[in-house]
Amino acid sequence: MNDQYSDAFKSIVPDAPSAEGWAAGARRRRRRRLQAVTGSAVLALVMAVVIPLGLGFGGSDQRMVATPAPTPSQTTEAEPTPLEPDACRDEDGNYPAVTDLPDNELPLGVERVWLCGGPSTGFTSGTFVGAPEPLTLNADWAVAVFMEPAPTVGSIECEANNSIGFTVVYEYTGGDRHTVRGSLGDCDAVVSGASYRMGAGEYLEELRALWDAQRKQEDTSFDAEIQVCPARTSVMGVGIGDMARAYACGPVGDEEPATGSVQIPLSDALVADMVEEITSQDVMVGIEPGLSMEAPSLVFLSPEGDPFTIQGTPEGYRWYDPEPRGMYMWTPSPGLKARIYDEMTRDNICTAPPRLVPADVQVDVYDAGGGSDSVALVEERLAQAGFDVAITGESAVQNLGSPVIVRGSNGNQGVDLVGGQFTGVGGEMSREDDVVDVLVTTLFDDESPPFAAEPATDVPIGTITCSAPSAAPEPSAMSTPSSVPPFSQPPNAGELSVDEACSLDAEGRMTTTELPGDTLPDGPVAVWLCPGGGAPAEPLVGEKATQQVVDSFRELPTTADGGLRRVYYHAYVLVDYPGGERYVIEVDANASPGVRWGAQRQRTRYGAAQWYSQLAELWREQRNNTPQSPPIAPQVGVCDGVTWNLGRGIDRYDEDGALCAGIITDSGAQIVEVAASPSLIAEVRTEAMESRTPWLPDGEGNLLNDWMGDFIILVDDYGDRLPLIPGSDGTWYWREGDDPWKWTPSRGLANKLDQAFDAGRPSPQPTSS
Amino acid sequence: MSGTSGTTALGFERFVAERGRHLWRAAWLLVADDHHAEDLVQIALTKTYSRYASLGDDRKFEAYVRTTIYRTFVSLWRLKSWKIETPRSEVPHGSPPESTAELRVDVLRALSTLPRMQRAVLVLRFFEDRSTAEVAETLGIAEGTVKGYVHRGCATLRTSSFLTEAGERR
Repeated sequence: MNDQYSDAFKSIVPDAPSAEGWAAGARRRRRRRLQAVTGSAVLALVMAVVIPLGLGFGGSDQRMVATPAPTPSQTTEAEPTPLEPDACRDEDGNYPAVTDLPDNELPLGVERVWLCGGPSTGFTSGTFVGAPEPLTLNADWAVAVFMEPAPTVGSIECEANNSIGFTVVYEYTGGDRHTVRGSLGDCDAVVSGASYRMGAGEYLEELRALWDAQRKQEDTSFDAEIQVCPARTSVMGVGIGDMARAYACGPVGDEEPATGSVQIPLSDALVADMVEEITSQDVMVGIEPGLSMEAPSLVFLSPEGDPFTIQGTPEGYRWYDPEPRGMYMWTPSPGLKARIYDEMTRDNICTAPPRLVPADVQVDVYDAGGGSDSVALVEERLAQAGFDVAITGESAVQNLGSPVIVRGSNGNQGVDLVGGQFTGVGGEMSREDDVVDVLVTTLFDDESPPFAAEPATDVPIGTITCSAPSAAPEPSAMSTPSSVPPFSQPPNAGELSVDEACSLDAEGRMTTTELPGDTLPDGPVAVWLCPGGGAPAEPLVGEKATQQVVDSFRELPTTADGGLRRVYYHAYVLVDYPGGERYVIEVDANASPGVRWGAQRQRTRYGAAQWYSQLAELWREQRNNTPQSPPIAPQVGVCDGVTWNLGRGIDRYDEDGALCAGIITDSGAQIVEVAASPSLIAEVRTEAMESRTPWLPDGEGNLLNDWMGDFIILVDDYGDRLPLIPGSDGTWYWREGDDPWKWTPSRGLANKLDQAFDAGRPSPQPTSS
Repeated sequence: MSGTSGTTALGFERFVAERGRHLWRAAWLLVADDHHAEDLVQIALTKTYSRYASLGDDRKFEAYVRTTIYRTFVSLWRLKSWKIETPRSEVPHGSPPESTAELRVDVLRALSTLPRMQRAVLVLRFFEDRSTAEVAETLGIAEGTVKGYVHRGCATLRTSSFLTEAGERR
């Protein structure tokens, strides 16, 4: 039959026409496309250089770079993304509702596609999530794969037991969205408004393939400290073998299930060893709903940010895998269990009750004949403890709930039986140890053990308990300060030490520090603000202002906030104290939570954007109260790269200015300063101040799409620069703090600016053939 | 292929002269129209031209162009200008024997009833003689999905009135 089709297809296709002109036509069309694309591509590059933090032109997420105008070969640092994008939740925190589709079909023109989790039943792998990043490459393919099966009008009725849900949000130019929902398992259907399509599994598989293709092409990587606890699992179909990072989620409180959790990052070495051990096992234990969940869980993350959760139980870690369908259980080896415990308890956030270890106890040798003090030793328990069961033979000792000491061949090691469960002591018992004798303690009162208590290092998984970080703990002993030299006294005007304070590593990062009692102590003497590119030349000083930094830090929320979203920055706050101590906190508006500290940035708060705004306001106030005369020179050339902006009013930028022209060549964008008289700059500032109006970026669209690289710079007495960017309509745009403004020059001034730019802009270099 | 633009242009010209017509034939089965087929090939060549030098040889480049043709066809199926023509009963061009002309019309009519992805899969399998794995890679879908489309597409063609009637006429 297939040969018949093959023959038919080949016989009916006519002779092809001549291909003359096709190659030339393709090259010609390619050149036209490149000319249209170049401007916007360079725009993105130059905006990354020029746009100050918080300006948010065109929705650019580009971080500030501390270099001059880049060439196309430069790459920007990967921006951290939330594990669950905003598109995957409505304002109430629920998955977005399914929408009606016109004629039960998705429209054309999809710009990006979001894959999200969905409502699931029957499994406890936590919250299901989709991909952290949207599909933009071949987004229209995602439309095609949805449309492939024919729709059935009406609602589908099926048993939704043991189903995993996912949601797909199609986003169109202009912001319109259409949402469909798939259900894997018993239903296997995709619902959209008034119709449904079968084959949810196939649909999801094809979406995964599209994401895989995009990730390969764009080398997607996920780099952020994010909240994954208590449990997140991706619908992207990742497995343990794909995982690169992991967090332990310690349940908080005594309720079951726990009402909260703390998140503890695990070391790369431990993660690698866990993955190795899990993937080398092959245990499938069948569906066992209802296992106790009070034990800490582990959430793994792939390099692309896809999570996979294994639920902690006293016996081990379990998870559900639909491919092949079933429940899996991993019981960590004693060595790995000890390492997990060590890393979970290192900061004393999670602890385990101390285990009683016999130090020096008089015991009776076990008598095979039994006796009133005999304790049952069940074979399975001995096997768990790592002993060679064969040595004990069929010995059985009635369990009376008292500690039983089983001494191995290596002498003083033993196992104590508390509450019917063995725990290893010292971590040195192994299956190779032979049980040489069984020692039974005399019965004793649990509250007055006859031997010294020492913390055990090998405990059942479920006995680890954690406490929530306190909101405002009392300051205690100082922790080790960072390696940056301590600040001893405020600098005088003109004596700058910002380079010394804001020393970043090659990746633009600084090591954060622990905070005593997880808070900033009272009474700092100075605060430095160190963004990724450029910095205020001076620290914040003065008792009142510096204490305000401490107070505002203490008020940062511990839960996600829905506040400012259009401030894009990454900075460090350094707080100095009279004794020379310095504490370093990271502030990142692109992350959530965005305020982090600790040796591994493991301590977090939300509200990064608001806190940054508060800090900027403190600096503005300090600057307004202490004008610099003579003014401080800009740290770099006036048209060069970084522009740090604390958001002062345009009236403060009255010391200097420049016109900067963007030149676009095949090798990239170049920025040059063009000649402009001080009077022209002053005229710009005065007219902009007097004629400005508020700008609504969201409501007025992106008027900067055609921006080719020109801008005006105004400079204040501290050497900071305020850029004004021209839009396609001849209007100029800038931001003062959180307030965006615009101004349309008078005709006369516009002509002067045009003449100045044209006269000073060099001709582009000829294109190489 | 050389890295210089002049040599690249010549190599690209040569490639299009040698392989362009074959690509057109596959595109024709997808869109059932001479001009649309040429448009589809031209779009793919425009999209892929910049990769000609870097891909290193014509075979790889042709595979890349083919992938682009099929994926462009599937993704742009609803554009008005891309509406797949329902074949007329008369012969479009060329001078094939009457029986072939009739078969062409019947097969094209039957193909026009298939969803675009199924059509693309069948053309790749039975006209281009690609393996299931190659079809999967070209279209960016799973091999299991390819098999499913082949099965469903063939089932549709088997029961197509255009082809059963044609069989009866013969």
